[in-house]
Amino acid sequence: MDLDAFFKPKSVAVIGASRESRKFGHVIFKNFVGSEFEGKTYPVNPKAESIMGFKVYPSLKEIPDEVDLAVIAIPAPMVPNAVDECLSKKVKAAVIISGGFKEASGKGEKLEHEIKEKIAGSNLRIIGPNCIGVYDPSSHVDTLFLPTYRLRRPKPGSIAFITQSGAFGSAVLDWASSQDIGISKFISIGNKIDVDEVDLLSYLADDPLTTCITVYVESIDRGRDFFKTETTATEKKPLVILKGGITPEGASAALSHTGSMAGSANIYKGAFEQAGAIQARKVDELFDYARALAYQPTPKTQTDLAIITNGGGFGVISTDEASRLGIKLANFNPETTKTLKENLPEYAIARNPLDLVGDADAERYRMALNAVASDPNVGIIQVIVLPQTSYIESDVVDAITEAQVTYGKPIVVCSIGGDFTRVMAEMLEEEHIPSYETPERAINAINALLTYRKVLEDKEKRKNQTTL
Amino acid sequence: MRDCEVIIQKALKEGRSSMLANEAQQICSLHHIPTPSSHLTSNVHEAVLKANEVGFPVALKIVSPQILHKSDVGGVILNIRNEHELETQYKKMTADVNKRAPSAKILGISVEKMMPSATEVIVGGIRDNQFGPSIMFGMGGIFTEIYNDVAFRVAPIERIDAWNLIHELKGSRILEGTRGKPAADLDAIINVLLSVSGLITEHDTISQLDLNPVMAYSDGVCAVDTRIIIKKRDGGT
Repeated sequence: MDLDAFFKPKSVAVIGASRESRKFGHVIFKNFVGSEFEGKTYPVNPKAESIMGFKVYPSLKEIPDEVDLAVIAIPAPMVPNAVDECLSKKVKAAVIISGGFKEASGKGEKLEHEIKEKIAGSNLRIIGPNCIGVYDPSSHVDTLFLPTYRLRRPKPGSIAFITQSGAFGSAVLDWASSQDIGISKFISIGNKIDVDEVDLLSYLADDPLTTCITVYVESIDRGRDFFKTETTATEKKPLVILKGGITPEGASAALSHTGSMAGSANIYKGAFEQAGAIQARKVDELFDYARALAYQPTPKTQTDLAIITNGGGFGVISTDEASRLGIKLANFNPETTKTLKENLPEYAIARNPLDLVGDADAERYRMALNAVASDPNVGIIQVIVLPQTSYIESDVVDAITEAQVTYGKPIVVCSIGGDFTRVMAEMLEEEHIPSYETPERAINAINALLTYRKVLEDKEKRKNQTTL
Repeated sequence: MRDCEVIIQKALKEGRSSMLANEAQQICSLHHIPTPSSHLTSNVHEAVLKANEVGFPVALKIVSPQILHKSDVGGVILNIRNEHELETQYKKMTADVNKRAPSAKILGISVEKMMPSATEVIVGGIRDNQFGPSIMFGMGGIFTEIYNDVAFRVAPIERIDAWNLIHELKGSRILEGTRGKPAADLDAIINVLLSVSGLITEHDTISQLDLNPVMAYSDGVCAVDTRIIIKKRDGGT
């Protein structure tokens, strides 16, 4: 399905563009005209003549141009009329920002129904209502009604993010921007009267700018379709899902034992698992996993883990967490051990987890990374950098990046501390090496990479099975 | 598959919403799911004859379209070791059921071979509002009740899904053999999962089904109790 008009419109109409700077319609209009958005933007408002020096059109039909995307930010009762205008103007896509629909009242639900009937059989696609819409940093489409001084926009990146909740979405965007995390596309789907998670998943699976898809949903209305789309999407790229809310639906039909168990989140979990989606159980896991999956390669045949650290404790905690998750620690090749012994001070011990000890500098990291990353017994590497010692400078970032590029094995970093750590984490983020503040989070991100590897492996097995 | 549908349609025509034990067993057999040998009997003499045929110990189960929860009305007696016990228990069951479910139409009492106990698992099928035909696998008894150690898959499943489904359970380690207990026959469990996946996918007249428990032996499995809930095919909803 073609949803391009939402992300790459040549012309946009903002219905409800306002002169009052706090109004949603004003903020959205400003997003378009105040950015590098290359298309044309037309404000629509029967009560104004000009906004920020732009000529205002009383309705869509007065616009002397085709309109690809309409952003609708007017009170709910007026929305069906605006949809009529979109239909006669042959608008391709509309984002309905307005609330006051199904989520608010029975009256609102009726309005939704009215809109659904109007667009049935037409080419007009709708996102929303009751949503914050679309943010695409590469095309500068930005329908978020939250001003940029309150909600900073993330830079262009490779993680796509679909969210049912607008508030959750905007908080995550603001946070992502503060962490220097890039986004390929952001979509808040709200009440999803037309475009839903199934449509978007299938669109993003083929989006060349997206290398990992993240989804936050509370309810899925087309479970079976979602399951099928998920199954195909995960063949192309990793998908991380955070499902909020326990579903009560199934419980009503509990005549059997199976029926009573299906009432919980169990069935969603099973369907996600089976389709090859990676499930986040907590908010922070959603982007923890996505960053590892979007930035790092999937481990090849060898999956054993090597841990390199400059502090014993974090190595121990990482080992514990790895063991809990069933991740195997690599046995170093004799040659690796030899190289390490020759080059490490006597008080360091050349085994996995590899403790480079407190006076390790970037050179020692580089030596260790070369030895470990070239070891065929190692499939994936966790590098712990505690930057509190005077030996650690930001050149350790180069050592890590070089090893990743040279050997092509996934590397995940754990680093905790103050301002210097932040600078280092940002440098790593820039180089697409994911960095985490605790050893557990780093190991769980590694686990996500290993899970996706298993997903691909299972898909391969399935194919071979059916060809037999 | 067609034979199965004939049995289901007959029950639906009679206005029933669940299959009788012997019908459910028949459906299982048609899908290669092992069940205990059993016979529907209409009097105590017949019961003695059939019990000797399947071999003691045996279980007695009441067969009535009106009784869904058999044990609530005294309609299940397990572990009957000899003819004498059988005669006493048969009469007791007839009397108890008559008293507790006086309006129920009794079709007879099923005499079933008592299967030796083993690690118990649950296999289920359901038609979910969102995901459509789906299957469940769980460890039996307290594992399901207290630890919620169950997992679901969307049907139809493939062998690899069945394998992953089993290994998703915490209790899968028990099935793989632990503390001197032999490993369960995973292949046989996988076959039951595939059969139930087929059943729930092919028959949209089955709305829910439970094989609970399924005895998981080191060599084969046996679905000791089966419940199948059926529903007329509807156009919409």
